Amino acid sequence: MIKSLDYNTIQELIKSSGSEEKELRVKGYEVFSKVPMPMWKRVKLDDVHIPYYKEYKSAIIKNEEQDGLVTNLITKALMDDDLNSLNTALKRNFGVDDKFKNMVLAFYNTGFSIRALPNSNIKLPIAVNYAVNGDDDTIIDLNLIIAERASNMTVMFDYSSEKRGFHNGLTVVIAKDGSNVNIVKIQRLSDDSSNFDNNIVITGNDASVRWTQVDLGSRVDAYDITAELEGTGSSAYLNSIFLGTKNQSHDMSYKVNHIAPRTESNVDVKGALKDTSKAVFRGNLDMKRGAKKAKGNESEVVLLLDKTVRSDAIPALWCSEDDVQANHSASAGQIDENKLYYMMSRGLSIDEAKLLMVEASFNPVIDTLPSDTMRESIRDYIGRRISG
Amino acid sequence: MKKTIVNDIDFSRYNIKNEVRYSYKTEKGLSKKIVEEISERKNEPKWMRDFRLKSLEIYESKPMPTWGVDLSELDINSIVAYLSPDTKMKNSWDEVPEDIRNTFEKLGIPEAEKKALSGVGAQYDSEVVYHSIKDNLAKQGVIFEDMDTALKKYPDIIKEHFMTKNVTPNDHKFAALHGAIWSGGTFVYVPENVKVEVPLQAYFRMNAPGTGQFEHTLIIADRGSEVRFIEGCSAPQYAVSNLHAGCVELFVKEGARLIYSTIENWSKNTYNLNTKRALVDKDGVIEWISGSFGSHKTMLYPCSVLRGKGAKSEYTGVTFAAKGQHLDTGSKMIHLAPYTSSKVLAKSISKDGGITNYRGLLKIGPNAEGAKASVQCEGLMIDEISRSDTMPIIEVLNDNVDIGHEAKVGRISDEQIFYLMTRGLSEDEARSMIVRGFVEPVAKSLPLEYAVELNRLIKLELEGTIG
Repeated sequence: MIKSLDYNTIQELIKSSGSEEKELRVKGYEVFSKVPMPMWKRVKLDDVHIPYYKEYKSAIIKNEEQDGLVTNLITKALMDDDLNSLNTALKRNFGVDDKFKNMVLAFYNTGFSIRALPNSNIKLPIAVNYAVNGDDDTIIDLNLIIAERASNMTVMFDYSSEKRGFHNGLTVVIAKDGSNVNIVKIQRLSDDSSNFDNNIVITGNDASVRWTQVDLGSRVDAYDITAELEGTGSSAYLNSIFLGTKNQSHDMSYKVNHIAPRTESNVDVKGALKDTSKAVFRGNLDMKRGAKKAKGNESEVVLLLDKTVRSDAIPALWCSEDDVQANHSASAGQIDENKLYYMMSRGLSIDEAKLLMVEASFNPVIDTLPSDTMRESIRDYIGRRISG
Repeated sequence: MKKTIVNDIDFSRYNIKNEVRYSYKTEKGLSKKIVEEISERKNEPKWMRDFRLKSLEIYESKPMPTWGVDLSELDINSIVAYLSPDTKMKNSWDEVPEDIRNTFEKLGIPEAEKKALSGVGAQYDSEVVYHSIKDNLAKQGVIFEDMDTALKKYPDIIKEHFMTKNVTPNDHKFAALHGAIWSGGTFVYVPENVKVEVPLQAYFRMNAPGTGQFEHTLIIADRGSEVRFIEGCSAPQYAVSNLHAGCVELFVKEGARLIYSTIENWSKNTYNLNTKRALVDKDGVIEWISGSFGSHKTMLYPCSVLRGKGAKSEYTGVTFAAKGQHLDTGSKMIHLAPYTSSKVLAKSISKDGGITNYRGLLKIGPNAEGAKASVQCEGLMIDEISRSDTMPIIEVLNDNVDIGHEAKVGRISDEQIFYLMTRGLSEDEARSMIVRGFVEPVAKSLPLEYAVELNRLIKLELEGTIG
């Protein structure tokens, strides 16, 4: 039976669930049902359809059994603690759009709650795979990552598919005082898929979050990463690579709000565009009043590989505190002809030479990925996309 | 850490109010009747009246912009569209009534002319009251007229160029408003290969409270010509909001070069919603120099359409926002042809809760092979209650380009102060020097009278600087 994203489905979903889950889904549905589907100027949503509700059972988590680590499948049970943390995050302004954000809250069908206990050092990277698998082609994931005081951990998400799928997710990362969190998100859904992702990071005193975003797939792709630097001396480093091929559209938004003193951030986005692909980079660096001695940087570099690509950038900088350092920059250009000719004179074809240049730009980010097989597989994937 | 205190700009020089005398004044607000009245009094041809009425229709059909500055307090209906001083056009400065002359003299216009400016058109409220141009320029075929006269003397050129292919009433609400009730302004035509060596200057000023000023500037720099045009704007302070919605249309033909400088110093109750655009042909050059100091709220984004191969544009601007001011300024660079280049240098200073916002558009079209563009924004915040925002939009539809954008915001660093103090400067002097250095790229690109005016404004700020 087909289940639309409507009130009946909500009723069915919360029939046997606890009060926390009920509260979350009903509240989410209230907003979802009121807000219209957005009309975007830069990335058109014509090819995107609102999916039917489906269960998703193909989520895989690896390395979840380590000392100091507590993980739960969020669809199994939403804990009271989890709801409190979620509510803290949901007070903030983040996400691609209210429609998509609340779609997740109302209709999430998978997701994990991952918690590192105080002072724990989680050695192995926790890997979460969401793949489109047979009939499991609708991924609506709600993820909650909490690093308690002075803990360390790495979480890696991998979204992949060979065939058409729909992904819309919401990830909350709460890094408490003195914690260190590494997040990696890899998106390589198929060329006819849709991808939406809403992410928020909240930092405590002296907490540090590194976020690596590898964005390669989907026909229509829109994501937002918002970092709220609330703790004194906390930091967020967002590194991203993206590749647009064929008729892909990527809409990437990075917001960093410097709220507390001595916070530090760096947004570094590197991308390449080929064929008739299109990318929009939105950077919002906001130095709020009171963020004394804060430092913020934002930069985007795009390599344009074909005449038919389109690259938009809106690197905005908001500043209402004078005792800060804030910079942003964006640049775009084609590969330096001299470099290309040099490489071709050494026997490389033009495609190989271009690939080499893109790899040179992406490698510093790929090198930081936490597993060898992942690094290899990403390099392979990029190679195929550029030469293919 | 001690704070830098920079004094407000002394506006007393501009706050010279004269008794309002007028020979004709439209009723408050905006209607078909008022637009027809304006046109009739000006004895305009029918096409212009029709154009005004059509613009009014477009104006009424467009919603108020919701982005940029807050316009909710702006009540168009309380602003008088057209107000004509009770003087007729004068050819000699001495014939201008004494109080009007005094005001302009305090602002320094005749002195400027003495310094060999080639022509001065001063607009006092809606009509141009004083106009002159040096004989030798007239002999070269340079036309420097007020807009109303030009409409009568050169109807064909005006009809062809007036809000038809550059700015059109359809562009936005305030362009349409301008089209409906424009009044006065300047028309300049520089013939082929004529180089106007000294700058042409027009000074706009609002005197009566609650009036709008809607002057129209049209400049055509024909092939291979060179000209520099300077406008300055000011208004004394009144309680009722003033509105300035001017329009500047520039045509830079093949190989021509036009430098357009503006110092805006409207009183702090003026809404300055101005539209400026240049169409630049092959190898043409447009240079914008813009200083925004006054007004309550400003939305001003000079636009360069680089439509000929090798066309160039440069924008250099400084914006200073103090208490109660929200200045939303920037530039638009639209590259449509191969090998076009553009360069933006925008500097802003905010203090006492003032808000500056750089809002820019850089667009590289699919045919703009080999385009080069750079945008550089720098904000200096004098205290922690002010804001300095940067909002650039970059759209690239071509791979063979080289573009870059950079912005930074900060304050005067202690290291810079300490270094200068070790070289024997006092803390005050050190701060002054750093602020002066910050705006120097703009100050040095202004000529004559206006460099003096800008320097005066900057100095007034800096003299009050204390550590």
